[in-house]
Amino acid sequence: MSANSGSGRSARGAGVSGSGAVALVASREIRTRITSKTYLLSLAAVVVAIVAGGVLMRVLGDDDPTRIGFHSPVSGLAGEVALLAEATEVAVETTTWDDLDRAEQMLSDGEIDVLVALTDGGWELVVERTLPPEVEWMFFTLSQQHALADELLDVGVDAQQLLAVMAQAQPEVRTLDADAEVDGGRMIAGYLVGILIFIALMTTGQMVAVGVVEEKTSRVVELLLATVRPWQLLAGKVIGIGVIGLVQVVAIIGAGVATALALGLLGDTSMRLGSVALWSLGWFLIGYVSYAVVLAGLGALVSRQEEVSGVIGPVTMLMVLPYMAGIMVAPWEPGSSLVVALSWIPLCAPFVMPMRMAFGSPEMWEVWGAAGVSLALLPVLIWLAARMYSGAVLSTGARVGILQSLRR
Amino acid sequence: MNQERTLGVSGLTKSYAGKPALLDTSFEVAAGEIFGFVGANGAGKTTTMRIILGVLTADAGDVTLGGRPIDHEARRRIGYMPEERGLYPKMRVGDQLVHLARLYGMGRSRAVAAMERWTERLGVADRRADEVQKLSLGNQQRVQLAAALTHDPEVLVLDEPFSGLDPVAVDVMSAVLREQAAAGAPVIFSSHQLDLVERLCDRVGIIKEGRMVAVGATEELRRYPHPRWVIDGPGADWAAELDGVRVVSANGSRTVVDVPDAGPDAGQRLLAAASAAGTVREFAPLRPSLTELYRDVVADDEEAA
Repeated sequence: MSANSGSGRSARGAGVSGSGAVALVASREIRTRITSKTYLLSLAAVVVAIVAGGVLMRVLGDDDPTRIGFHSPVSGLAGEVALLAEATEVAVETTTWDDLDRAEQMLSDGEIDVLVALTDGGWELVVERTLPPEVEWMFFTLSQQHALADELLDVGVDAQQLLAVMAQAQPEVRTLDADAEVDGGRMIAGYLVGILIFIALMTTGQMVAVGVVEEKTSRVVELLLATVRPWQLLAGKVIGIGVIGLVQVVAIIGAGVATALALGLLGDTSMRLGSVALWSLGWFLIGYVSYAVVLAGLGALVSRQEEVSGVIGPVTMLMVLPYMAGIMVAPWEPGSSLVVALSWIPLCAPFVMPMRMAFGSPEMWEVWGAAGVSLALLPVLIWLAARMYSGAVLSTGARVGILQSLRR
Repeated sequence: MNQERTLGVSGLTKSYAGKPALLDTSFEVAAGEIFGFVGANGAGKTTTMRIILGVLTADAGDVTLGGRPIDHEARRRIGYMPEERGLYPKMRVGDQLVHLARLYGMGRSRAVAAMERWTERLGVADRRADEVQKLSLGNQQRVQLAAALTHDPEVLVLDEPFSGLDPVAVDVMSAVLREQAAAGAPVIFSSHQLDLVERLCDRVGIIKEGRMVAVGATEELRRYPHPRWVIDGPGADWAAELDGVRVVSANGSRTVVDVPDAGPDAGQRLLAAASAAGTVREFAPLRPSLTELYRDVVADDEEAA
């Protein structure tokens, strides 16, 4: 038995450093997930859905003009209708028809939406079924104007000039509460940000819990802990899955912002798109770390995949509640005290503050302050979760109690 | 012997929720020595090994390597095969072994080379690209052993390395353990297959209910309190008449005798007496098998308790 045959052993390195181990664990998490077809396909599907949704909104959002056909005897009305339509922002397209039968044929074929024809008493509207209300309202105004003009003509007023003046007359609108005005861009962004952060935190958080239990179920954790410390394993897993989640969120937000800008979907919004997008990323990260460590700690308590949902259930409820409260109240009343309170409370803020930023306009000191409160709680959460994790991760079999895991 | 690598365990005590699992367990495994760790299920073998690896913390006692208390860095020089076999089921064999070796601090290229060497040696080279879960149980065991060896450990701690292995794999495993010991590694393994332990181990430790009840060189332990002989020859009557000789068993022509105060010439005396009584076909000193010793030690302890 000689020791010299072990000479090759002395060539080993000094061993992997603390952060080196974390990086190795994290890179394994990233590699095994990012190369999975499910991950790539679902990410591609979401990005395609966002772009397609934007295009669809653009197409549907463009009002098709109402096509109005005028029988030639009443074609003089076409100019007045066009004037009115412009003033009331109703899209119309006018045509003139000499042959009434042919015009009616066009109407039943759906080539025109409404036909204005001459009658004994004046003119009538012929439609296939119904008229768009704003067009009907336009003709209602028009007939009132004509009735008025006829009466005034008798007292010697210039009817043509009167009609022109009346068509242009519009009330001035002054808005007292800028937030109360429905801002399409804000609405879309708010809902999307709310849903995105909710789904992203839900899925990544569950990934962490499932990943922890997976290592317990397969018992590989004992082999790992023979060389890596529990905190390194925990940190590597949280960071690795965090990167995966971040890639998803960046891709989705990027697709959303790019689609919105390219197609001009936001119209004239008062929202600062860049700030909302960046802060959404920031809030995702804050929320992710908070929930990931808690769910990792809880996941370590059980040994079988079937038990995961049971042990993380209370936390997923905690995720649903602020999201629901935010999405139901914030669009209508972004400044309500419930929304404001939730946007400050750690673990709720990551869901509610980004929605508040999209739907309303919180002061920047509020955003930074709420982020500070959430970040201040993080070390506590990490410490608790790390203790639970190291205390329970090697106990296979029955579920370990939270207090039991902390005592070890 | 290389003192640098002696693995020592002294006074280990551990209890789970007030129930004692280990009581003052001590033993040493010298460099180049194969140490067999034997005991019933739940006797404390796995707990001891987990404490050696630092996966569990002892309530009291020390683990030393080369005389110094073992720390995280020193533990990374151990190759470990846990009782609860565990690998990532959905990771490819090659990737997995490289990942584990790198966690032990190996550079990427060295880890790959070691993975290739060990999968070749253990006969799973053609499965490198397969997910672990697609392998047969026997092949998973081989990968598990490879996982304990790829980082080029200086000490081996293997919990039940032979369980679930087919006879060919048992031979491969035995050869690997001998090789590692010959290269200067202290090797400790637990097993219920006492014939294997007897064949492989230089020293054996028997643990019962958390206490070491016997530790020593296999040859030393395999000894009766008094010398015994087995004689195949003229029945047992001649022996019963001899002074200072006790007949332990008589089975047809085969007789086992026990000589409490055997002098140096006891064997000669016995043989002469037996030859005088009739034809002797076999005459040999008898040594207990490890199985017998184990039963004895465990039973004695039970009587004492």
